[in-house]
Amino acid sequence: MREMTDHQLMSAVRDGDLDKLGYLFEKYHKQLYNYFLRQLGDPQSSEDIVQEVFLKMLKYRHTYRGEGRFTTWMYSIAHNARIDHFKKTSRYVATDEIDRLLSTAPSPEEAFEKSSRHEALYKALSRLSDDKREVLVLSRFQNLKYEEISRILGCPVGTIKARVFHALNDLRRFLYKSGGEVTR
Amino acid sequence: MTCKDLQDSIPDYLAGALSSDELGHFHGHLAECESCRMELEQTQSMWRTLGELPDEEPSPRLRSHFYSLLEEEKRRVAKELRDPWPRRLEAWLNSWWPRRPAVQMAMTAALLIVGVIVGRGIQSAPETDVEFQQLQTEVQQMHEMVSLSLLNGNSSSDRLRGVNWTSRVDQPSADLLESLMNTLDSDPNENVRMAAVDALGRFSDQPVVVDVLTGSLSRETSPMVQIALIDLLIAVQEKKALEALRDFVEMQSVVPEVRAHAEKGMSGTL
Ligand SMILES: [Zn+2]
Repeated sequence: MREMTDHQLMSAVRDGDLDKLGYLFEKYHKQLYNYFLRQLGDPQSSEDIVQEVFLKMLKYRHTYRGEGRFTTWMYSIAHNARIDHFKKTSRYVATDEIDRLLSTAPSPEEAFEKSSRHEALYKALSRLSDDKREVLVLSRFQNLKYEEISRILGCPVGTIKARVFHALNDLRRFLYKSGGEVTR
Repeated sequence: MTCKDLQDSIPDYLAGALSSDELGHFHGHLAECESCRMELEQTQSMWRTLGELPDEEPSPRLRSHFYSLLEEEKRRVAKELRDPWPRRLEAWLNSWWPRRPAVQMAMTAALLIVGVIVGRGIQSAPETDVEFQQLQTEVQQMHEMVSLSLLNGNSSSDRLRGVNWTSRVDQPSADLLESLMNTLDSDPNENVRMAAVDALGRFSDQPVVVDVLTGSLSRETSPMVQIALIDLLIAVQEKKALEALRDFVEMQSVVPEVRAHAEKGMSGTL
């Protein structure tokens, strides 16, 4: 039997073959989990939101039209779930709060050496603005093309690319001490 | 290629999305420009460093939770298929409403007569209050029956009349309410569904009605009916209704005009 495409699977789910959602779960749950983990830094809530995304796919299966790629549809749901989560937990860090953290924390080099590299990276990621972090996660970790990201987030491709660029510069600023010298 | 152009194409370069032509220009500028070389080097090293982050594994809880959720939904759907509403309605009607058109005509005529009696009753003061109330109850039951019978009809104009008949019923029975909700949920004709929205609006103080309205908002595909539902849900001013609206505007399939309408309505209620 030939493997079904994502589109065929989701269309089958829509038409009542709910078991097919299991295939999509197996294929994408880990990707989605990491998408949320890199933005929230919290395994427990990341799992909860993955659950929520699949629940929404199930609940709104009738609305699946299969225009465009399945992943665009899936990540649109994920993106909205992420926004909802931030709204609920009001997880917004004020700008001067970040500056304060940066100036009083041990120098990033120190932090970088003390903790593992990964931890430092997670920390740096958490300091990015939500917009920049999401675009970076989608392009670097989820390997989505800028065009697809632009459709998911509903903003122009140029904006997406600019955000990737600034996100990388910001990250570098958070990880190494060369802060102010980097042009933005 | 200017320094600005080069900077702008760094994200494409990192993602490997530059054409060989563009790549030529890109390298051409780099060979001549020290500051762009540095800029790229730094950005690229950050991009690479990020690649070191391994994918993490979620706990097994996620999978088991998902499959129990899926089973639950499958059970729900199977139950619906086993026990479809129209069949239950049909059984109920068979016990009440005659099958033969001639008898149905007679029944309708009887209804008219009851109406006349009630009219006279009011003028000439009935013997007792109890008698009058009984008569009123009977008229209400008749209205219900006519509504139900029409709602179950084959032609959309009949069903539309059925929906409109419900406006004569003050306190709908559970059966009538269910029939109306079923009409909203699955009638193939959008005018009938639209009328059902209005009819149900009169009973929106019942929680079950709000549930059905929110449910059908997520399934409804006609923009016209969507807008009627949105207006009603906003008027209802219930937490559940507003939550459903928030979910609705997130749905990709919603046309921009309808989404804008919903957002406008929601912002008015905040
Ligand atoms: Zn240059």
